[in-house]
Amino acid sequence: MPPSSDQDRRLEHDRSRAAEATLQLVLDVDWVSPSIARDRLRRWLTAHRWSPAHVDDLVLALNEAVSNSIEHGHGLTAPTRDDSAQPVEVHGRVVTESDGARHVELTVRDRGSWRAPADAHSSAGSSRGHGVTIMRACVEEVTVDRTDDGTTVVLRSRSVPPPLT
Amino acid sequence: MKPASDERTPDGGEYLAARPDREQLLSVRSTDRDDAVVLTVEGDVDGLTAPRLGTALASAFNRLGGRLLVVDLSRVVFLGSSGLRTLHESALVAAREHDLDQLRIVVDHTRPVIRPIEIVGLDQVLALFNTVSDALAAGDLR
Repeated sequence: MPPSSDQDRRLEHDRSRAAEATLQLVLDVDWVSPSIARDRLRRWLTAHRWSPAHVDDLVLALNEAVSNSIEHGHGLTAPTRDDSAQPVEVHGRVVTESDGARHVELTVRDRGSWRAPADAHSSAGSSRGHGVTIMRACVEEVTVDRTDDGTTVVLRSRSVPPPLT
Repeated sequence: MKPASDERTPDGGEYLAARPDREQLLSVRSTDRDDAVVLTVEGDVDGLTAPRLGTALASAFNRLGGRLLVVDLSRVVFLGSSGLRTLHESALVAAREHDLDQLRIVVDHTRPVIRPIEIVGLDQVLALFNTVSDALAAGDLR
């Protein structure tokens, strides 16, 4: 049956995109962006038949990387948005290894200049490092490349066995 | 629907009025009992919504008296570092101004909420329960 409404058409459109080889997101410097990134990553990995537990971990890790880009890269500490800021880009790809195992590589790039958290000296300052702790626990490898032009974080997932055919 | 007082945002909620879609990510419902204030949290707790949870927690602490504060996270589907920070801060408030034993957290001991709590070690700080009735029924933990 053909899609009957705008929403149906959008869903149809999303489904056809979901199994694409790569994930490409351009996100506003806006606190709504992490939820968009989580949703899109979840659908993309599900289309690639990633196991739910691995999907949850990658969603957690990506959320932290995107949140860091918004908070630290651009200094947005309260839920608001910065229309003048360069967007945060997310690129995801599935890498097939020589033995058929696969892993996901997620790259999060912002153009902000890193700044220290505004309340780093508050009583909760000690819990500020949770984002990095979560990323390290949820993926195999976290690489952070910070330059004057911005920060690029690469999250490499643990390898999973080839999909059953 | 008129928002509950504990669902106001720190900045007065203007951005929510302008972009109502954001409101749907998280709901926080507050229930006052003789023995406890129960916050029922549902949805995603992330950088966008954690301030709203923080406001609800502060409001609950303010009227707590000697009662328990039970935070039911069993219907939370996503908990990121912003939410963990909010929970950690509430534990610090409880320890400083009340009694750490008064704060009780209800979590489904399956993913996705217990996983981030355990990763950062908050399970060693927070009193965790499987159900609201367990949290209410548990006696003095000290």
